[in-house]
Amino acid sequence: MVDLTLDRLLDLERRGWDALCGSTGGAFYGALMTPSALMVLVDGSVLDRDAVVASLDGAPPWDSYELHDVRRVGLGDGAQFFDEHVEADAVHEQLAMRAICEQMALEDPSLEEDIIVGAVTSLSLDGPVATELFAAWERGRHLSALPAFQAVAS
Amino acid sequence: MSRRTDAPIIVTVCPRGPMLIRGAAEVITGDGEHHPVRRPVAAVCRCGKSALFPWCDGTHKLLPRDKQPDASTPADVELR
Repeated sequence: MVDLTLDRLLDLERRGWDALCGSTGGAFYGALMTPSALMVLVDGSVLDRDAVVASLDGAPPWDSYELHDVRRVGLGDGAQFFDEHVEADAVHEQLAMRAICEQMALEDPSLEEDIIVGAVTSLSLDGPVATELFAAWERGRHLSALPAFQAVAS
Repeated sequence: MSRRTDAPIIVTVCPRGPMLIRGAAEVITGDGEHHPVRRPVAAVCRCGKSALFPWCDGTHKLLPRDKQPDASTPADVELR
């Protein structure tokens, strides 16, 4: 994740418009966009990356462009909420290992195998759950539509 | 900014991971920026690749072993 300063955003914006003026917008935005990114146009239409690549390369070139009154709006509290959780997870994961598991094993070495079974079980369950969640996210589906969720809810 | 308490700063180094700090009021990065510590224990990045630098975001786990910080790798920060 790169910090999106106004300078960096402006640089990307100019390079994007330069590409559109040379009919190479598809290649430029195809390389820039992540697989799940969307391009929203002023008329409200929404293009995913594949649609951008297909429609912008070879499109009639723009003659020129001008950028005025540029400002960075920011993502607001949502981005801060996300960062806070990433930061908190990073701390808690280490505390669980160092302050809880390691300490327990030092105080009572006979618990060592139990602790390892617990850790391996938890990580083994995390894998398949995360795979399902990511798949749903990438397909734009709500988590409540997952078969596992439906089974528990019914 | 002054220290929150008179208690010493306690640093715990996590092998191949961040360092945990307790009792620090702020972390000062190499560029001179002051980052206030907002939680009782904070994980400070030692691999240098965190998007939330100076805070750990777990990126060290994605690095090849030889790029992960070892027990003696210092975090590029000053604690106060």
